[in-house]
Amino acid sequence: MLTPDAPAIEVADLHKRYGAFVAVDGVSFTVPTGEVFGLVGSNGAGKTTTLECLLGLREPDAGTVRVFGLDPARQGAEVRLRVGAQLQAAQLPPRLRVGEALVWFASFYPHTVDVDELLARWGLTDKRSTAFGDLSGGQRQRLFLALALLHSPELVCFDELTTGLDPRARRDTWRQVESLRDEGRTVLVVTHDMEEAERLCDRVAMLDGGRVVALGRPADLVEEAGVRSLEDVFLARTGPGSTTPPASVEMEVR
Amino acid sequence: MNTTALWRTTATELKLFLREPAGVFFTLAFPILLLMLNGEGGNRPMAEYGGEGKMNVLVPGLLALVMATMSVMGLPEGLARYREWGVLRRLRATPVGPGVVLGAQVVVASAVSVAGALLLVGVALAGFGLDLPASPVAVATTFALGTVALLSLAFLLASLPLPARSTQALASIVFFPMIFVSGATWPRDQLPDIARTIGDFVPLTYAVDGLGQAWTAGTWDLGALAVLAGTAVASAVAATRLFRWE
Repeated sequence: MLTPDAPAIEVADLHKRYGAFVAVDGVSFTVPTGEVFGLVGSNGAGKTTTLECLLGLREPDAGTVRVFGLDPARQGAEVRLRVGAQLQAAQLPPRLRVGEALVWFASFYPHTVDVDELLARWGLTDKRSTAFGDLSGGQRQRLFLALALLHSPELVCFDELTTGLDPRARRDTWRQVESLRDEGRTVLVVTHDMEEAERLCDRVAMLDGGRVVALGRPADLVEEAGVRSLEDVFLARTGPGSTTPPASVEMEVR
Repeated sequence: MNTTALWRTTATELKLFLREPAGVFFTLAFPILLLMLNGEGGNRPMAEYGGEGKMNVLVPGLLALVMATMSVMGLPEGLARYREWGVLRRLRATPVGPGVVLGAQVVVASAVSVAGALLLVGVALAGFGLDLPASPVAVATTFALGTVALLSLAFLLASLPLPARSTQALASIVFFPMIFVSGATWPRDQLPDIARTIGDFVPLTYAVDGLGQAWTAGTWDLGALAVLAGTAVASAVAATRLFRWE
């Protein structure tokens, strides 16, 4: 399942702009297989755009992006066969039932895991016949996690995984991400939640204004900065005002 | 496109359609209701239709109504909601991509239109003395081309960068005048002059005319078919340029 010769993710000098707004301005990082890596920063820092380039949903203006050695802009379908994603601001039709959603998404992949086992793993067995519109926020998020893992992907990407979840659902979700690491999968966590990043990630790239302002193990970054938490590092390394895109391009960025 | 994915997506879309009572009513039951309301006297020849049987004139129009309902009233709102909800965005992160939903919606809309048409014709034949079409091939061809033209038009409405509620409102603004001025619900030559003039610019009018001529005279209305084909191509080209998945 692992490809030892290519890292899971290689991003080198990535640039992406939307009109006059520079979303990503020379981002570079490498994620070896098996690592839980965080892309952290405030809203508009360039995290989601970077993720979208990794998934082949956007084409970089300049720079290189490789996922398992593949170019997502040209080999998008191949990349997406090996990558599972939970995306921000993505819902399902309200009348679609949990079991139907899984069977539907399973048809997109040549090989999938057992749907019953997946439902059991994410605590959704008794929600199988429940419509998406009737699920709680936590249940919806678990369904999206299950959908992201249907094809047993080698790399799993989560964009604002626990936004909107209550503390208990948040802790549960974190434990589930840790179980993915234990299975040897590479995990990319995109988040503005520094506590989440500190708790889950082996290493993080901190983005601000489309640039990497810090890269390393959370504990090392905290120690180097002589502060108490990754949140303190974030507050010290990123400036106010520089991170919010103009309102006119915000739609496009998301 | 991956056929397993298309088949499964189509099955999913069909289930979702059947769970929407309003959609099922307007596509399958509403044309039959209109038929029944105007069914008095069955298929007796009418002087105002040039001596043609009443049903022979009404049914081709109602067939056009069926195709318009499923495409213009169904597809734009459905796609716009999928865009707004981020369903299309989520599908972009899969190997097959969101195009599979578009394909499935076209298959479902076409299949439901055919089912609605057969149901309508069945009721009109069994209960209201409708004559069999003079040229079933010409009727089927005109129906198929009309459906393609209206689906393209629906796709064009769906591709405008509007919130789903506005798309729905726009579809209604197009749909309701269209079904009246085209002659789909009531013969055009009994409409006021202004409505007839507007009707000349509505593609659905040509579906009504083409179906009517095929049903009663058994001949091909090549002008109407050309307009429908032109509508299909022009709308599809414009929609493809305008459409955004997110």
